[in-house]
Amino acid sequence: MRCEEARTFLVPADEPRIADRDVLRAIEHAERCSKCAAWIQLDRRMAQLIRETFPRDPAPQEVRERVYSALARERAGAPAGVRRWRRRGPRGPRASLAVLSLAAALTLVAIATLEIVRPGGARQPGTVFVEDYLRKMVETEEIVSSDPTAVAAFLTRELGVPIRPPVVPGAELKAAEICLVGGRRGALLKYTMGGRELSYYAVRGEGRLAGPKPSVQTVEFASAKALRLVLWSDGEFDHAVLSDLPPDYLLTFAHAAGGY
Amino acid sequence: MGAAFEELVGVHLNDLYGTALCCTGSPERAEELLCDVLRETFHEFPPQEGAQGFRLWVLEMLARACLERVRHRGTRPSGVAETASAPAEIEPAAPGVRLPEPGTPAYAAVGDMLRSALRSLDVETRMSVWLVNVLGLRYREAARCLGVSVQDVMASLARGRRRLHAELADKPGKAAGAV
Repeated sequence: MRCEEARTFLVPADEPRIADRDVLRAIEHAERCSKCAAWIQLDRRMAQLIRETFPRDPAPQEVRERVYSALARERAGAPAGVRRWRRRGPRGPRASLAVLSLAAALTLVAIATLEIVRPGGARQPGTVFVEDYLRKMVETEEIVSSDPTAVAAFLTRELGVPIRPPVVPGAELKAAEICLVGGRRGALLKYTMGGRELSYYAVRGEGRLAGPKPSVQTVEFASAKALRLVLWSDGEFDHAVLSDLPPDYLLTFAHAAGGY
Repeated sequence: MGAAFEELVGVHLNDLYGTALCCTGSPERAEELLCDVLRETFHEFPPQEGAQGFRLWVLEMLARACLERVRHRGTRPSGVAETASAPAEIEPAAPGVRLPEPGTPAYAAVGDMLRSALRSLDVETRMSVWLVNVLGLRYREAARCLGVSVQDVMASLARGRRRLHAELADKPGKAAGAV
């Protein structure tokens, strides 16, 4: 068998093939032909090089948003019963209230930022979560549902990673939103627990904000109830639980959500 | 059904966008193509395909729509069938040149060069390389996506790798020679 013919049976080299008579003859040829053996090795290395080094960029955020907008328009024509997520924002008579809320939120952001600055001037790691928690008074995309499956579907399609809402005894899931924390998009899940509101954040991170063990911080406001914050990280996500509930409730939630 | 479709799109969106970008070569056209194909397939996804079958099914829809558009625009594809029966195509372009060794700086730096080299291939060849070598599809799956035979995919891959090899060999200080 000639080299060219043998290579037609052996290339690409990284796929199993039926060892028929021609393939066996080609293998026999390659075992004796140093040029073919080298070439097949090169082909295998080329495949490995492509597989391991080819950059696989994630879809840009604007593409993600346009795709889901397009699908949302399609869904608008879908049969009744299909769950829809909605874009919340100031509309009609609620606009003035929203403007007031925005002003209040910005004030609170300023207060919160000031209040949790450490004596040395450094901001505590949880500041970014508090900012987003307050910013949520006036924005953005959300799903109002107590169905963890529907919420998980919403979060997965919006964020591109599967996020399942924690099921915590005594805590009732109410809604979920997409948040922006320190430039990173993540999930904000809203619960009620002990008759009070509780917010749980899961944002992709590198474990920089917190350690693996949930720790409680108290954020004091000048003219509002103290807000408690529990932070932890599992290496892939940074997690935060915020509420004005007593610390024990937040820690119970954090432990059920995966913190230890 | 819509929610399930959107959830699956979310899981695979990076691969889908990468495929559209690989095929069209333009972020704008890739986005337009992706939105069009997902809109068209939104009501068509057969439930029996399930989550496992979704990726291959939607990649097939995307690849076929993309090839159709590229061909319609008049970009002359050098058909994979032409090379399938041409043994000369499987000859190495630069047999004396080595590829960078795994673990070396040159190996890590070769990704961008590969991306640029991939653009120089005809659309069927680069789609074969993308689907098999980058996304990890099996040959028969790539053949289904591209609407060709497994032999065509194999020949196309061989040709693609040979040309990528030649592209890297032309840049001795950056990749192939920096061993």
